[in-house]
Amino acid sequence: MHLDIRTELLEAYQSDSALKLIGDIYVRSARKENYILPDVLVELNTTIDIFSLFSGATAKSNEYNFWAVCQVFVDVLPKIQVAPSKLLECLNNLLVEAGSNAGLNGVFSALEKYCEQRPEYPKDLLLLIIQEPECSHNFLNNVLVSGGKQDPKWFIDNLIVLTTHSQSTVRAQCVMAIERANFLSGEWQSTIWDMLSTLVDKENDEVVKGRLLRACLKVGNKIFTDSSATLKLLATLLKNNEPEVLFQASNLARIEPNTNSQEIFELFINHLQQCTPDCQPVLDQIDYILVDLLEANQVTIIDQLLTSLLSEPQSNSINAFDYFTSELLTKYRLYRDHTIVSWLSSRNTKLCRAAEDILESVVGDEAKIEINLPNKEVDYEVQELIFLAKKGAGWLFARPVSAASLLLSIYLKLPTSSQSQIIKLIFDPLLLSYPGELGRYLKEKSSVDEYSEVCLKLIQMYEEYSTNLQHARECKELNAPQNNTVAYWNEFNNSMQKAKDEAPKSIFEQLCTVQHLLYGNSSAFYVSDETGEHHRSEVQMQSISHSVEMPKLHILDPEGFELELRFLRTEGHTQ
Amino acid sequence: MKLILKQYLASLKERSELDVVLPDLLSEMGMNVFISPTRGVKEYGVDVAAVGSIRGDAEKVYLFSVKSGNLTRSTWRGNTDQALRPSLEEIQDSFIPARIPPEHADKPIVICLCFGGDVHSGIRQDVSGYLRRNTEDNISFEEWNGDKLSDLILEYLLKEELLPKNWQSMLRKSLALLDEPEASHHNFRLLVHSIIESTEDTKGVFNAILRVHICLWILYSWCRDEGNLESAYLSAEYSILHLWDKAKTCQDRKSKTAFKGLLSTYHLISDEYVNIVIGPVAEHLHAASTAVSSPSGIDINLKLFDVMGRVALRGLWMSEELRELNIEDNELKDAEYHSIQENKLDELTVTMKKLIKNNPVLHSPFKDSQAIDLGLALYLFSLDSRNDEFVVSWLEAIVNRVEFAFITNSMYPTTLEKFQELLMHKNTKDKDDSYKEKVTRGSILFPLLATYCSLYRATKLSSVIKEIVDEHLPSCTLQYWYPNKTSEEHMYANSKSHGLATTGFPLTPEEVLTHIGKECKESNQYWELSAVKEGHPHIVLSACRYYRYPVPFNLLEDWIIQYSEN
Repeated sequence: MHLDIRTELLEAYQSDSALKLIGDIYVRSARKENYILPDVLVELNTTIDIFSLFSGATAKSNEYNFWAVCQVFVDVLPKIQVAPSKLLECLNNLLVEAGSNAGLNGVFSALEKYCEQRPEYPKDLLLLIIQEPECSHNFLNNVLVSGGKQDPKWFIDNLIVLTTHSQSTVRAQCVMAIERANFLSGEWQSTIWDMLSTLVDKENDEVVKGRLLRACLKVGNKIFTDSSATLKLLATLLKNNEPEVLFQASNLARIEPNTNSQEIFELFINHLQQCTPDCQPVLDQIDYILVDLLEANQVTIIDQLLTSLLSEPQSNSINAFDYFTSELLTKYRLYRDHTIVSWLSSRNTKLCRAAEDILESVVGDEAKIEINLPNKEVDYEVQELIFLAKKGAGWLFARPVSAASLLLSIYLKLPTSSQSQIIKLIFDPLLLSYPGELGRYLKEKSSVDEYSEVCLKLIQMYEEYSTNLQHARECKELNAPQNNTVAYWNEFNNSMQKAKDEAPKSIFEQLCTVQHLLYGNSSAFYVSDETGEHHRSEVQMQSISHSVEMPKLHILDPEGFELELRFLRTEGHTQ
Repeated sequence: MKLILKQYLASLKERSELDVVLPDLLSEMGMNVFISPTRGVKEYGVDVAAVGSIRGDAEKVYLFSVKSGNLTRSTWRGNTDQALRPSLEEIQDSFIPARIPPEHADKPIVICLCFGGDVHSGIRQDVSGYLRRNTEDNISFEEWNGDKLSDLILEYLLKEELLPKNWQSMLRKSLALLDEPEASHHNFRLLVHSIIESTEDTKGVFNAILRVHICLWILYSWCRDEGNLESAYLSAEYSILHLWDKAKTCQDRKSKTAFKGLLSTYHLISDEYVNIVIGPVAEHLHAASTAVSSPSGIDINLKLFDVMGRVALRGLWMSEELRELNIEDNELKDAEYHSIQENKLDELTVTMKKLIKNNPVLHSPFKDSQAIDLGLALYLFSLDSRNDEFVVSWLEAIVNRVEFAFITNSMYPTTLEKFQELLMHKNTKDKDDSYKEKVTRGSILFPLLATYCSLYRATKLSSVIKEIVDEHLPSCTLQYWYPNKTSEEHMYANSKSHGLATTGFPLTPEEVLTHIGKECKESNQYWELSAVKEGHPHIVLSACRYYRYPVPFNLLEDWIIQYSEN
């Protein structure tokens, strides 16, 4: 077996197809016990120039699998003896070819293992890397760490010099090396901490500051029992809320919540609150943090974090936290109600908009979410409830079931003298706009004892209204000219078609070949099997449709409707 | 054509409706009508009486007792005072002995049983028996049923040389297209235009009025049967305007009387339009808006402003009638009738308010020219101080919504007129300043609103209007329209553009009224318009509504003077 591969490789090398063969063998045997390709290549290195071979690999090749070749390189590297200069050339090439693709991530630990083979390897490589262009700097922290394990003093000495380097990439690699320097014994730790303190004071580059945040936290946790010294450095780094620093903070808050003290976690949260919509990666991390907090029932922190993130000046959209909203809507009913109600009561337009957007994110039957007024230790005041009802009717208007359910739960808390205001709000604009969906909901609710009276009253009010319209429908004199109706539907169809044309293609359209049938209600086609035989297949056409109830008031009085909604939404708002 | 006429005659609901056509028909047949129908009162059983010869027969006295529709058992000998048999007995017992003019006393008498339909087969024997029993040497009976009346109308009123085949075809088309009122009205317009074009002398004017009147009645009765008065309403309005244009110079009593008859039919139609069509739908929230049955709010807006203008115009005509009653009858002899008319006007005003309240779309003008309908409504409301509070709240709602529309860049009032243009306007996402400037080049709406806000002393609203104009309409030409010397010639038939537009309309309350007061003195041709001078001032308002001209501010002159004095 061993010999077979060796022979094959030699032959392929002669015919310039060695990389193809390496890739193929890797694909064939990588996950099997007989994966001996790296060993064979190490052996062959004395016969043929393996590194020249890898140096010439390109990601653009159609002849061989570049990523398989990279993986073989990663497997070979810890075992092979090669001059650092040659290795660096090969590494640089592969790194350039791989770009930002994570397929080459294993090369860094392989490099460390390579360095550990001989003490002079890291030292030689360090000298070479410093002289090389910026892309080589990516290997700096691995070289420092692997050398440091063998010679801590060399490590410290080089850090003292390199942390003052003019290039930020070099400084960032040094800080990464510090973060990873678990091998240092107690005698070096105060030196390292002093070094970090100096760097924190002097550093201006936000990427380096981000790395410093990680390093300070790691080293601080290791050497101090009290977090005050660490907090001081972290606060300095976070002072300007730079995106890279916030990103690292969000990472640390998310990935290492247990190793951080409460003060440090709060510090991170306080700064993450300042995140703006242009920092999408940080917002993505916050999305996860929110879910973690939800699972830990840390609602006060969620309230604080979201209130700040959604309000001005940050003005983030709740849609940025789609994982959180999905979890909130599906698993945390009480907290969902609490959140929506507190946002609607906040007199803050951004938060109210978020309450609306949360419900907008669900479609279909799931969209008919009922919102109930949460129980409070102190009773709600009447004016507070009326205010909330108006906000509910205004902001949740497009989700009539949600709006009406909230208003009904408010109705139950109000004294009789004020209940009529809620009935009025449910009737106009909600029931008048959505008689179908809301009518069905009220009928359903009328079987529940506590809601029975009010629901029946509303149903009766709508029936009277509707009866009064019956006669009007027979009034031919007021009918709009037919030409106008035709023009309206033409315009409507055109705009729908335009929207459809401009919309992104559905996943099915992207995956499959689209064929347009002009006639018939079923289609027949032939499928060939592996023997080449054609089989006829017939598929019955299915129709799929989706209908949405458009608010009726938008037709009957479009401007008044918009004005009323605006009034309900923003009356009494401070922001 | 005869079938059309028969259906028209059979569908007349009131006796008075048949009265409208009968005297004219008899006149055209060469007879001398010496008793014409008066309001709801029969003279000893006689509705119409005439003397003359028909088709060369001897001269006879014809006494008509008129009944609408078919003759049934209840209308033959029922207990109501509308029953025919008691009327016939009254004629024989009272009228013939005492009321026949002495000069006709020796002439044979024919008592005519006149009705639009037929004799019900169940009472045929009763009727024939009665007629046979009561026929004497000098007194005979004739049945003037729908069939006979149709023949006579065709022979004398709509004969070939007076209503040629192609004109008949226009009438038929307007009847066939009642469900498409605009098309129906278009054909009727062509018919009226053709009839008027063919008139040359005073006799021709009289004939034209008569023919248009009959055709309008036919259209009206068909519209009523079809349950859609739209075409009849528009056609009646068009007819009075065009025939006034012809009749205004005629000095003969016959033409003037004929025009009054036409005007009465216009009032009848517009009264029915307001009371039967609009009244019930105005009662309930969104009912009138729903009746438009359109998927577009623009349609609802356009239709309801139009409807509001019509109702207001009807109210103004009614107020004019009341004013005339007060002048003619200052001792109020017919106090009951006066009171009924007053109540009717009050009811109409209430209907207007309900229409506005229950259809909030009437707070949002989409077109600048809707200032015409607003002008009619505001003028009507201004005639009664009990409406002041309502008007101020309505003006406030309009101003607030207009401001909101400008702020949100949505359906602010524009000079766009057609539905499709407004639809495009609604769907235009990017309504930038240059677009806005293009569609708001001129305005009569803001001057109108500013004027009424000033008159109602709604100072705050006046300031808001000024702010809206300053902020959103810096390039708009604020203007208003007054009739000028050319208006008399072109106003009623809209033969040409006419009138005078004043620009540079100020918006501060004091300046507004000073400006209008001054301009009313300068542009006072309104008072010289024939319709105003001849006692039909609201023909001018009908012309403004139909041809889309602003309601002249001259009507507000007294109020403005009063305002200045206070």
